[in-house]
Amino acid sequence: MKNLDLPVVKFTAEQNEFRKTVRQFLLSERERGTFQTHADSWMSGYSYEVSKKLGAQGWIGMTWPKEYGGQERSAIDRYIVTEELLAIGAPVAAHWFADRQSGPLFLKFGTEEQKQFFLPKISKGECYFSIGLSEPNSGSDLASIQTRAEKVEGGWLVNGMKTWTSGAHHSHYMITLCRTSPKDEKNRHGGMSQFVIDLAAEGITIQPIQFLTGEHHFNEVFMDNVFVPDNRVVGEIGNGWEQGMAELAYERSGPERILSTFPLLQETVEYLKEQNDVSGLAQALQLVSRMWSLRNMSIGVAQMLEEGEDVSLAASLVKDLGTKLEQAVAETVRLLVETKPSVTSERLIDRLMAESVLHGPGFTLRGGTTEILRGIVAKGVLA
Amino acid sequence: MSEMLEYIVDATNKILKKNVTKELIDASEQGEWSGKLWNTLVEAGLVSIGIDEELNGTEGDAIDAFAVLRLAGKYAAPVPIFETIIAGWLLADQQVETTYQPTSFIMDWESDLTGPEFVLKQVPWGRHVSQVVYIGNVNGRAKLILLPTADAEVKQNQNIAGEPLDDLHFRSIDMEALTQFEVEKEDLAEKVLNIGVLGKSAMMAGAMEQVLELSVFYANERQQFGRPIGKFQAVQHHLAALSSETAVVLAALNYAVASFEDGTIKEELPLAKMKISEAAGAVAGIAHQLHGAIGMTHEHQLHQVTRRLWAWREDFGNEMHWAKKLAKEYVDQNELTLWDFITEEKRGNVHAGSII
Ligand SMILES: Cc1cc2nc3c(=O)[nH]c(=O)nc-3n(C[C@H](O)[C@H](O)[C@H](O)COP(=O)(O)OP(=O)(O)OC[C@H]3O[C@@H](n4cnc5c(N)ncnc54)[C@H](O)[C@@H]3O)c2cc1C
Repeated sequence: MKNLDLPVVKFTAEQNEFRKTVRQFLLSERERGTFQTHADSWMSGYSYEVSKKLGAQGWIGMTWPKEYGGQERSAIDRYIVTEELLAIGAPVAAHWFADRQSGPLFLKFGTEEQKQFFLPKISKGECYFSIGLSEPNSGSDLASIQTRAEKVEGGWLVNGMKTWTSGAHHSHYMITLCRTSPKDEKNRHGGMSQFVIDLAAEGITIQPIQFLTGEHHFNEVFMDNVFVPDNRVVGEIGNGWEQGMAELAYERSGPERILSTFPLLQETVEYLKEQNDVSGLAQALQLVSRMWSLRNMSIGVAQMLEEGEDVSLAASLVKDLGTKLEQAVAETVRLLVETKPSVTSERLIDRLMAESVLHGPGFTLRGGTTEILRGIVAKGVLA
Repeated sequence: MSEMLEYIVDATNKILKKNVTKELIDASEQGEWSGKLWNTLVEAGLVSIGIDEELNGTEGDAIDAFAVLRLAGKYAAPVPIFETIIAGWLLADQQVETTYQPTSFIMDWESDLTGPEFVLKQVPWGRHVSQVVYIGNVNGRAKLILLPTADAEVKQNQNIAGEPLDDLHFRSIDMEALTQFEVEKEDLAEKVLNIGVLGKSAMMAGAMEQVLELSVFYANERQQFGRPIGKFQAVQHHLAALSSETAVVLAALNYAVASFEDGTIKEELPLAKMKISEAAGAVAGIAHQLHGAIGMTHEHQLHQVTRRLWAWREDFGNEMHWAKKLAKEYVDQNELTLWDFITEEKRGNVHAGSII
């Protein structure tokens, strides 16, 4: 039987101090009107100003070596920053993916030139990345991608299309998974490679896909003979799948898989407190118990990642349970507070409710669907 | 199903299927008035169903009307047909002839309208209706009044489905000159709530049928790992859950509607709305999961129905609202065991109360 224990992490006094500093900074920025609180803001809230301000604080790429613009802080310090950003619902989508996975990808597999070129800009909050995995016919079955890269003099020519690309209209680059040798049914995960594609390059067309709310969130990215120089290959040719899977561990276990709807819960608890609604609070606190437990798991995974351990099973568990919890927040709150969810309402709770309900279905899809995650978990425990 | 009902269902289905397109719903959510659809429905007699011929109605009974609303929900018809039918019934009770004008209604016993200036908050379809039936206190007396909206100033707002939920600001209303009737507060409140709950429940049931249809279609069409996703057991479980939720919702709805029609409706009302509101969220969630990212796009049709489920489940009391009412009723009749409560024919009525 697989051991399911995760490390217990207790915050130190310094870390708690640090958390306070971050929180104070965010509260005062919100006070000043730099941003407003929204649900799911790590995915759908864009503010270059906020990203740059966080960069200036040294809170992007903060675990990275100083020579690349990092602060050499611990993964736990970074965890604290991301949690505080989520809890207050700050618009951080612009730099989120670069900080979370593109940067770490370069550190692990990138060349010296790539690290020097990209990491300092990312850490300043000025250089944004999108994730180019999904295609129209390749969602859960990612290994079936058809976007191809062919070797040419000095680089590669990329042809194909990506879809559901969050924020491509804001991003400078897209880490793009391409086929570099023909599909081989005996080795489904072979023959793929990762490229850094400059989204301003010739041959790129970005077309918005309207989100169900009408917002412009994700995109189709068409690549027509896009030239990618050799120095923009990430890691090894043919090793794209393994490298991509390593990214997923970061993607699946973070606090953003638990806290997307936290602003709604916070607002609700405030309201119930005002109403002196003890039975309502009791129900809200049941969610808090789930949240607290998951948070322990998620921090445990962060600790393991720092120690270089394999966390794919644990990360999948966090995402499965965490995203279900994120959805449960809206479903529980609506029974505790009478609301007419509406994005145009004057009442904050109605707006946060509308955002949580409308974005909710995506929580258990993006970054690997619940069904696929459960397959991974089942394989993991059976192994 | 009576022959008449079968005919109505068939005809309504044809009309809505032909006329309610994705584009029409989009345009409505952008603020346009679906005038052509409205006229078609008027001509087919569907907005005046359940009203006697001598009051210019189409005849038919509540069962027919709820069947029409179920289809209106299924196709997400972007017009105030629910509001107009119900407002029409309330007016017909006062012997007011129906006019086929888009009409909204609102019931509020908390405030007191004294005129000449007041604001009606969150009026469904406010910007598009030409009159509002207001049920509530007027100068301290329980009344039903008919307010023409021509001069009202509209502050736009909408629910999560993009349906108008506007504030109407009336500035100089001559209260005396309005069409108005004194009413028996308890009776009318109960009637409005009964038909409101059943009408919305019927619409939700229809919307769930549509969600199921879309899901079955997509499970067959979408291929991953070299086969339709409907071949994966996890997806099959989703389809099974959607089917069972829809079936149980219809069982709840049909029983409640039959009880309304034979005049025996009591706890059937809250029990039905609780089940249907609860199922609405479950069904919407499962369908989105099954559709993957495509279901999260504006281009796909799914959200036009799921957003309506998310909006409508809160209308006329969600499951918690009714559970509390039911709980109170149960406490008040504390000599009954739970089994008595479930099976007893002589239970009291769950008082609707004043808030919808
Ligand atoms: C808000 C949002 C943002 C996104 N951002 C990005 C992004 O930036 N970059 C990017 O590359 N992608 C992005 N995605 C895409 C996301 O990764 C895919 O939606 C996801 O991988 C699922 O693919 P699909 O949508 O094609 O669904 P499908 O794979 O078609 O799945 C449909 C349904 O079938 C189920 N299913 C499929 N195969 C199996 C199986 N073998 N067993 C059991 N069930 C199965 C799924 O679980 C799902 O319920 C985003 C998606 C969303 C919703």
